[in-house]
Amino acid sequence: MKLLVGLNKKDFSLYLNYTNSFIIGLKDFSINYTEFSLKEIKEIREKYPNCEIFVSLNKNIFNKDLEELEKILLFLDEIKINGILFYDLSILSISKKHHLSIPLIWGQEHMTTNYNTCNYYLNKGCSYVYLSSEITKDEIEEIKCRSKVRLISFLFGYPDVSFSKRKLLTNYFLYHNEKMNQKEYEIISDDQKYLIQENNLGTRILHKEILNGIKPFHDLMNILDYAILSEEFIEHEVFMEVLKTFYEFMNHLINEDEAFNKIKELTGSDNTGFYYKKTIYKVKDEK
Amino acid sequence: MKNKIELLSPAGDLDRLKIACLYGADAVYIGGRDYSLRANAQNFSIEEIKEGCIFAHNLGKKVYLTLNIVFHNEDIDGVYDYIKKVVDAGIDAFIVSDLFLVHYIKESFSVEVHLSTQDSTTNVESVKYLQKEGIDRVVLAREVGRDDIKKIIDETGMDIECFIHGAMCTFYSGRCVLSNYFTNRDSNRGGCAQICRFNFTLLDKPFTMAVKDLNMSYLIREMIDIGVKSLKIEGRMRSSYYLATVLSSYRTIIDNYYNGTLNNEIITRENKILSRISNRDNSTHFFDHEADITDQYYSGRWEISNQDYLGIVVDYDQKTKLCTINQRNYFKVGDTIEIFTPNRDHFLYKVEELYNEKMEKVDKANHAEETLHFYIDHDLPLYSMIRRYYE
Repeated sequence: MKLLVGLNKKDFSLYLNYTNSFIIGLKDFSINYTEFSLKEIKEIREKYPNCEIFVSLNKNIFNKDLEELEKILLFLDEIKINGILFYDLSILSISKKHHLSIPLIWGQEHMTTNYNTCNYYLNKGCSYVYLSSEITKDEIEEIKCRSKVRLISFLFGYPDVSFSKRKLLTNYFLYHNEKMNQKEYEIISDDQKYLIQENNLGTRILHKEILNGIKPFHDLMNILDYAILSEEFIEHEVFMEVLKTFYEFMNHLINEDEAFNKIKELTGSDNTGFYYKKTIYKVKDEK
Repeated sequence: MKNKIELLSPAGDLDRLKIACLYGADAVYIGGRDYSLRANAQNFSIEEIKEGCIFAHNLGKKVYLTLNIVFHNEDIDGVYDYIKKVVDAGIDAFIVSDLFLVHYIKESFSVEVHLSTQDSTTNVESVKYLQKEGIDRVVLAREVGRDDIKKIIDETGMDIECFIHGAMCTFYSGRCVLSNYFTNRDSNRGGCAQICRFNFTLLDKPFTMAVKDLNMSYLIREMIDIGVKSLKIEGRMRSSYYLATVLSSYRTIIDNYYNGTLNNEIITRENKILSRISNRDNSTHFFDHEADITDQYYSGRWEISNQDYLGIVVDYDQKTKLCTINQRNYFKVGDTIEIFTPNRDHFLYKVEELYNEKMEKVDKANHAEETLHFYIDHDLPLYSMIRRYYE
């Protein structure tokens, strides 16, 4: 397993002691990860030829985006990016049309939940799938047994929860005739906290409990190909300590408990997400 | 004349399927007891699906079955047997969201496969891809506007289905798991707890992201003109009265359009009826504008309870003129009530006398679901509806 870092700083060299795999966003086409321009992506590709660079193009694509999207895909293919994480099927369609060699990662983040659909996308030419954060470790193990597709999972950071095309914060502040002067806000209900952030593509909600994925990292060490660690909304110094901890744990320099507790100390979180907690399907079973 | 657009209704159970068919739906979509995104609706057993299909087919209507959960491993094993059983029961199409099912269904059976709005399809290229995969119809994302819908239809020729009425999601369908995090109920497997309608605080002030309902009654003309194939009403949990009312209104608008008699007076009248049945404000959301400040709520309680529904006709004796109803809300002798029927007959009636189950005279209907009788010289088909009349 490799550590795939969603970084805040655009300077890759800051992270190279611990990983050389990165996932980044592209301006106007990504709803998470730090946004780079095409020019910047080309520059880092040239500057760091030994790094793996994955680009997340996970916005919902509308007709007006298609022309630009086609150019982007051709460009990223040409500069030999290591993979494109996609949500919208247009990316698969365009990629097939142009016989692009760029590896594709099926990344409909909450819908990548079973081995059959993983196999479907594998057969359609996807090299990887980015698993839903809402499935369990056991489900991931079964997917691995029944599919040859390479697996990526989210193991550290604030988990994505929802995405809307609506400008929920702009509307709220307009309604209250107030200024929106923060990049993100916290919303609370029943003591549950969420981060809410808006950009030109819409509004995004994240769970405000950091996923401390050391335990699933250990359990899925031989199953996952990449573990995503996201720096988003986390102080750089804290994230670097987290990254170092994952690195040390992966290289057997510290044990699982030490790693887990260190991340808990750094972030205040012992949240293992849904890796060991199955979601309820039916509230009342009527069979 | 071009092919008439389809009016597609939800149906949470067999009774509502029958009511939907009688009140003007061209097709209904239902959920089985497994694999459907409304896990807590009553839903249909295989026998009920069979009965529903026979009822609908006899009236020339179609039945679509939702199979639109996002599958987990544990859901897969039984699904193939289930698909065979419901095909045998007579369904006309499946509504799926997980693409692994498409090839199996298309290769094994001669039924249509529609792609659920859960997949948030928003552009021409995606639709072309789905076309190649054998999908017969795409239910577009509710975020797609008029121009994009038209372009998709013009450039792909795909059958396109769009929502026209009912509750809206705040987030892209399939792209929201608030329910999972908040209640551990799986949003994408039928457990959505509608967290987007909860009250939150932001900087210690009330914050809500709840959105208004969809109402496209004024834009049906345009939807027909741009070539939409099917107009979909949201709500498999909705009541019989709701379905009868909404279907009657949209049926009236659609039929008048094709007869060349649709005018703003008719639309305004039907829109008033639709507004009465709704417990939230309405908007057209993304069809004709980018959803904005006017399309959502910001604080407080916004849902109003509706007590217009007074009863449903369960029997009418043509010889004695005795009408039997099942009561739903309070009314009394002396009230003028409004009756509408599956034949789109619609009239006012003043309640002169009212009898209970034992044919004893009563002066008011104040027990929910009570059987009541009154005499009326007007042939009333089964499932005729009674609502409160406002002058």
